Amino acid sequence: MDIKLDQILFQVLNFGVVFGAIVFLVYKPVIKVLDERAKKIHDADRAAEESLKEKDAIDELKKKEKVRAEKESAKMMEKAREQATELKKELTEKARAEIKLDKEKAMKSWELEKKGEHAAMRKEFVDAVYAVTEKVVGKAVDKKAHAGLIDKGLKELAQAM
Amino acid sequence: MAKNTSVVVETVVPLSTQQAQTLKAMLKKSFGTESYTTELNPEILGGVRVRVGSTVYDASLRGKLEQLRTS
Repeated sequence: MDIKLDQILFQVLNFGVVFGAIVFLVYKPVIKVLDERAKKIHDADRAAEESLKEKDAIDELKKKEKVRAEKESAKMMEKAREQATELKKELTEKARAEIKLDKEKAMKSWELEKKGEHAAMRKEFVDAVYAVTEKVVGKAVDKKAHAGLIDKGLKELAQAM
Repeated sequence: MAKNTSVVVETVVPLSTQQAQTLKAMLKKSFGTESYTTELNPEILGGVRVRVGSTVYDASLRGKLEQLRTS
């Protein structure tokens, strides 16, 4: 077997050139593309992470806002309930006062009516007594009785004059 | 009381002497006069009514009935 050194060297050189060509023309661009791609992927991952963080922050904010709104709503409900109770109390008292007033008015009116009726009855009675007395006294009082009445009258006049 | 003021005494029956004297004493004491005129008025029903000028002092039965009626 003949080992030809110059061929081996040529082959080695050839291999080196091809290797070098492959490295510079294929390997490095490919690596560059792969790096770029990896970077893009990494950037996208980061952006997605940022978005997720933002979303979490927004969710947190929403939760807090919801809790705040619920508390606010509960306060307003409580306030409305208190106001309703107060209003109910007010209206009840007002109604009671009105009823009391109406009752008093009715009582007064009834009292007045009663007094009026009493007065009318009294007047009728007195008119009757007057008429009877007029007739009876005119006929039944004798001179002695008249003299007594005059004496009594004079005593009264002495006090009045 | 003015000098011209008249005193009129109304009764159903004439006053007795004693009653007349009592009346005179009363009028003298209250109004400074003893003179009066008498009127028999059955409408007063009983007792006595004295008119001194425009003032009336009513101690008659009719007066009492009127008071009862108007009270």
